[in-house]
Amino acid sequence: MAVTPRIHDVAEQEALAIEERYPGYRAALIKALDEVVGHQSQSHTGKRREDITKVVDVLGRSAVVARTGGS
Amino acid sequence: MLIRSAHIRNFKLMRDVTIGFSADPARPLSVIRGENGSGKTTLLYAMLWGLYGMDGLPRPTNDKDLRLTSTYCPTGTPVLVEVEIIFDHTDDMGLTSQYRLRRMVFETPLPDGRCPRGQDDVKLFLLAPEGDKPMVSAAAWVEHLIPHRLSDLFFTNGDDIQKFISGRVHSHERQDKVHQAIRELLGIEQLTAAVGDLKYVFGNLKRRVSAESGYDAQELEDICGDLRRQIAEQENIRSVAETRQKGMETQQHEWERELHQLRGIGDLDELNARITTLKSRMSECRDREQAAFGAMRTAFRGQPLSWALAGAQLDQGRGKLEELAHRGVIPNNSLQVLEDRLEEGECICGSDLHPGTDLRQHVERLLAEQRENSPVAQRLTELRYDARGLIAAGADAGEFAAIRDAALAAYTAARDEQISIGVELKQAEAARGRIDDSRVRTLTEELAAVGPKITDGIHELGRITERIEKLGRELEENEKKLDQLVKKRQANRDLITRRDVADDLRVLAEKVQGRLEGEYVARVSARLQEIFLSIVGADPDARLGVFRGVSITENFDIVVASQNDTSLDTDYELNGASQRALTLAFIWSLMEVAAITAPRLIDTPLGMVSGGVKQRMVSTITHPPTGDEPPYQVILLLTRSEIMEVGDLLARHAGAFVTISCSKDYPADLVYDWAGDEPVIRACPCTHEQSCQICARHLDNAHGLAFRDSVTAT
Repeated sequence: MAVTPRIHDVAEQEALAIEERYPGYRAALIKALDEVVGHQSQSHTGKRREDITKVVDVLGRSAVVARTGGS
Repeated sequence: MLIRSAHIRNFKLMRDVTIGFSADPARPLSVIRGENGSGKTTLLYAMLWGLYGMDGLPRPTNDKDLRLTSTYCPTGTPVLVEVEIIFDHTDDMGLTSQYRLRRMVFETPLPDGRCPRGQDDVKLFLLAPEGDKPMVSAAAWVEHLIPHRLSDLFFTNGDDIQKFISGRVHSHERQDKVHQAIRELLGIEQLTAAVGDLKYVFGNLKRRVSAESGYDAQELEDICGDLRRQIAEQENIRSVAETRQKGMETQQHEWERELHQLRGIGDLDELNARITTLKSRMSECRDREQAAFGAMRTAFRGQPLSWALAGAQLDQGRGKLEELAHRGVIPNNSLQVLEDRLEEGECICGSDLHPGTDLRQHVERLLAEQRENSPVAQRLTELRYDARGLIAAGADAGEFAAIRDAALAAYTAARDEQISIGVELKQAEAARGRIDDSRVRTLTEELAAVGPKITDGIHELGRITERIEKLGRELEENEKKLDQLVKKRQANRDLITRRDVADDLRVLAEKVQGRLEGEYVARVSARLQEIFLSIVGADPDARLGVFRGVSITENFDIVVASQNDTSLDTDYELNGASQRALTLAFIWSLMEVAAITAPRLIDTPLGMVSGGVKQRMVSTITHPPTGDEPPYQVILLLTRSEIMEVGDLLARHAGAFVTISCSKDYPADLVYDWAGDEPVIRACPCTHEQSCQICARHLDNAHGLAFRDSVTAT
């Protein structure tokens, strides 16, 4: 992320338009996007997509946990 | 990333040199002073090698590998080349850490000129109070912090700095460079790839949701999947068509530009027509000239010339004849009278004239005299009548002058016009000579052929887009059905949540991508204009202004607008200083809008710049950041001549000064002999206003430098 600080700035603005599925969801979404962008330095597409799937899974689990109220 | 220092060993003539840079945001400038051949470019290359290895150095023009060591190094002995760079890096959390990057390699100069090298050893350490902590994947870290593909932005020299804007490279390459720089620094490149990955992850989750929702849902998902494949296929086809279309349009633009340049000399058909007309006019003029000659010849042969030449004398003679007539001398009537009187024997007065009289003898003498003068009188009488005849013919002494003047005027006009036409003809023929006739014909034919192809391409793109839109509508309908079905069946809600979260992430990435591609590129364009106009001191509203504005087009070309909605060709219509100003303005605007903290090292940036432009350029690229501007670092490698006129600005904005010198310049330029058996480069802490026993040069007096007694150098 060192050479792309604008992504984070703009993501903070654009996240406001996304439904806050649970308190802190937008912040988690921005953090997840940072991670996804961070993974772009990997040239191996398969490995990169695997890692991004994990990022999405973590975010998704947080949302599920927030919805169901427990782990 | 801000560089604090560089320690260079055995890189070319830099045997052991340490240079400190300013990392102070309030004084972002570091000045490295060095004359030609003092080691500025060696420093630039050493930094590039330290960061990127051999990939960072220019490609050799021949097959020989570049050597890193000095040609003075003894052959057969391995030499350790080493560059160590200490830098600060602030992470996304705002925490600043210091790192040391060290690259080493052994190079062995051989007698045959080859210099085999071992494998680079690259290490990166995090400098911590408890001790240096080695980092894994040092090269990947450097690539992450300061990508090699963007090294043109971060490290450049005065000549290459224009490569974004003009000359040397084809316009496609320039556009690609501008495009790549914007996409990389704003993060668009990473986001585009991220969006693709997120679509993939979202698609997987969606399929899983559908699979767990039953047969109907699976069938609908298959239909959706098929539609997505078709859309992807069509998008690929469109992408290929767009690339081909862009290629044709770019080619058309290039051809039009070349043709325009050729026609800038003049349109060939127009020139040929003009030459024909001029030759015809030339022929007419020659005819007129000949006619004037003819009139002159006629005038010379006619009476008017005689009158002009002898009119006055003729008038005088005629007067004399008339006077003789008036006096009765001519015509000679007395001869007849005397003969009659002698025959009658009686004088007019009645006296006797018979033979033997004295009077008769007197009259006979008179008659003899008259007979003797008679031919003369007769001739004079004839002349008198002839003269009257001439007058009756109406000859005018002024006629010849009028004819002569008219002929001369006609001749002069014909000659003048011939000269004028001759000049025009020569110009037109010279212009025609400069036009590559066959190239013009070829270009005209190529353009005529490519035009319809482009039109067809536009239609084809339109058809593909229609197909994609139609497929998109079908997909949307089926997805809605699928969504309704899935919801109805209350399929795995947890999976649906994950799918929706993935979709949120994809939507967010796409929105950010859209904003960066639109709004932020526009910001770069606006800031580019502001900085460029400021440096060149142009007022876009000035009546006589040449620069109206600068913008980055949709094709990522940098366009300089001028009067009457025209644009200036950056290769041919921008002077060297303006080209440099434009490139610097682009780099600065991009880094500013992208909020990049990275070094900007430029070797000899002010070579073609002087006066107000120089002042404003240095002020713009070295002033401390204000407002929302991110901190930055600028390292300028300057000669003494470049420093002239901007010394005060450098003193205000620089946080570090270093002077580098090379012992090979003694005694021609350097004042002091450093001793030693081979040339070396050394650095001393002299500012642009100082000199010492290391860097003092014979011409320093011209720069008014103060001599520093204490000598410290590396």
